[in-house]
Amino acid sequence: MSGNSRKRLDLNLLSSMKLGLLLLLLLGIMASLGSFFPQGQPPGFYRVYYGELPGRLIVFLSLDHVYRSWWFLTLAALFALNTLTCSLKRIKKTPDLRSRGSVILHLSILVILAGAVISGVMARHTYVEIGTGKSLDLTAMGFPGYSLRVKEFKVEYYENLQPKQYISSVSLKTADGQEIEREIQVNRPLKYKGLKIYQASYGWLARGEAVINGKEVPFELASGRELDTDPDKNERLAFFFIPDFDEQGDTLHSRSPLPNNPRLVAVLFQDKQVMAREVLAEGETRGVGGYPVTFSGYLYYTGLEIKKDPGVGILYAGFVILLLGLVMRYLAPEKH
Amino acid sequence: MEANFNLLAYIFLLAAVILSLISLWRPGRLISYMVQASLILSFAYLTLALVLRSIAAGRLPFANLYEFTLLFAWGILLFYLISRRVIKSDLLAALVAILVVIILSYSNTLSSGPGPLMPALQSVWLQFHVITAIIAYGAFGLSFCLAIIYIIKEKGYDSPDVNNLPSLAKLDNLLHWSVAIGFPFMTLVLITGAVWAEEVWGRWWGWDPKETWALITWLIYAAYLHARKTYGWRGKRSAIMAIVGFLAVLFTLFGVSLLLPGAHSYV
Ligand code: HEM
Repeated sequence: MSGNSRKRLDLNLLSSMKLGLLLLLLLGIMASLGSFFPQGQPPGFYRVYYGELPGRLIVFLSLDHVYRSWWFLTLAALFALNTLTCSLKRIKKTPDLRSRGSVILHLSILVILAGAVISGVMARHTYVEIGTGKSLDLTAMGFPGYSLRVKEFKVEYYENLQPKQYISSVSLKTADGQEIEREIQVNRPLKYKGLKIYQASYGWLARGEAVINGKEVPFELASGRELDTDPDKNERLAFFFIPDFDEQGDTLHSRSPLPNNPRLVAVLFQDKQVMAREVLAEGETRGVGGYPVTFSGYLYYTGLEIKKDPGVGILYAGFVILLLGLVMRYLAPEKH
Repeated sequence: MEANFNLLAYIFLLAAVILSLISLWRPGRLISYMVQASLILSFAYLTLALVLRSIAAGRLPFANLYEFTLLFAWGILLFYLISRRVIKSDLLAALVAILVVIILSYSNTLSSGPGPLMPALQSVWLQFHVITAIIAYGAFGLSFCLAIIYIIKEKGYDSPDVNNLPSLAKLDNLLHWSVAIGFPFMTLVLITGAVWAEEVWGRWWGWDPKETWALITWLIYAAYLHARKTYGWRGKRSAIMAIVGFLAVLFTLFGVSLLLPGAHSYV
């Protein structure tokens, strides 16, 4: 066999429907494996959860990160090549709009995959939590020149107190010196020149002061966080913010999500044991197991997801091309 | 009112199951007519229930798995009624009725309060995403029943209803027709889902189990269409692929929600 005909043979195989079908099937099977095993856990997790040997096998076969494993990426790359070569072969034989639509549709899959690769390699994501009234410089997080200030955060409720919308009012200083004032809501991210900021989470911060071994320690902590008082004994002060304290009920119970009767519950723990517990109203000071604690106020923090993903534009272009291909393929008049 | 209409839809569906099974055993004009009437009434009451629910909630019934399950049942019945223009068979009616009864029975185990829309769902993409899903899944549901009928007919059972079915080639064509309608809409489900995920979560694809299984479903039907087109894979082999495709649909919708936790937890 001469080198040339060999090459042709390989190209025929690469562009063949047989390979295409095999790849569709294998990609489906591989993708399903990733949905059955928890992804992206540390190796120890699998050994504890599935047993020593199965755990090792899972990690060895990359089933702990299927979608980034070499064999999955290789299959996807082969699939792209298969689609490309097959479409190129068909480009020459397109007598009517329908068959052209079909080729466009297939080429759009390559554009979409290109978008996915660019997303995978170049996207930058960070999650930040910012208290209301606070600012954060985003330079260190990979968004040089940007800084973000949260002016206000609020939750809107339906009548039955189910949340309706989470809203952060922010002011964004951009790298080119602009200042943008915007409301960020769920499903309505802030967008500026490829930078996007999403409403992702929220919570309460309790503000106050504890006196630990004669030292005044001011704090501003998310509900549930702790201050170390005596590391040798594993002794900590934990703070829980209760927006609508129920005088009759369980100490940690909130009657509603609204701050109608705000209290700080301060708990002194040694290991897992509760040594002392006090409920403080705003402005109050009480000793908690010998540590004086003052509750001076509370505020919301907002959790924002910040990202830049140059792949999205290419992806969306791929979607538009795909739609165009679909319309041509299915709606163009048939030629007999 | 809505609950009453739901119940009526369910009762007529059960009637259709029983009547169609009787008609397989003792065929007749009258009983076929009754099967058909029950299914039409069931569809009409289900439609009414959905309309009333929309009015009561002040929004389309797109807010939770319960509502989507009703829409899923509705879509399958719709495609069945459309298919009556080309195929009239009590065997098909029996299969569709049994499938839809199972889906509606399952919906009764889900919490059904017409609550307001949570923040993640307040998006125009909700409407596009759900409507395309109803069409895709309705068509796939019909193709599943057609595939089973194909296999039954191919086995060569000698019964009046099986003998009255269209030829194998025609059944295969119908099956292909319903997959070919479902597939572009399934593609749109994936696209609208990705655009929405980008708007709401800030990532257009995250290998969440629901997304992954939607993609797997799409791959299976893509394989069906390509094998048929280029290899002329027809008949039993392609009927089996259509059945596997719909099992993937059911798993995406119910299996994933029950077994595999993910971000997409409401449907
Ligand atoms: C077979 C496939 C799918 C079906 C039947 C489906 C169905 C639905 C339905 C009915 C909703 C409405 C909201 C609800 O009731 O929870 C929804 C929400 C959503 N879907 Fe899908 N979906 C599918 C695949 C996808 C894919 C592939 C993506 C993304 C890539 C996606 C992204 C979303 C997003 C972002 C939401 C809204 C947020 C949320 O539920 O929290 N979906 N889906």
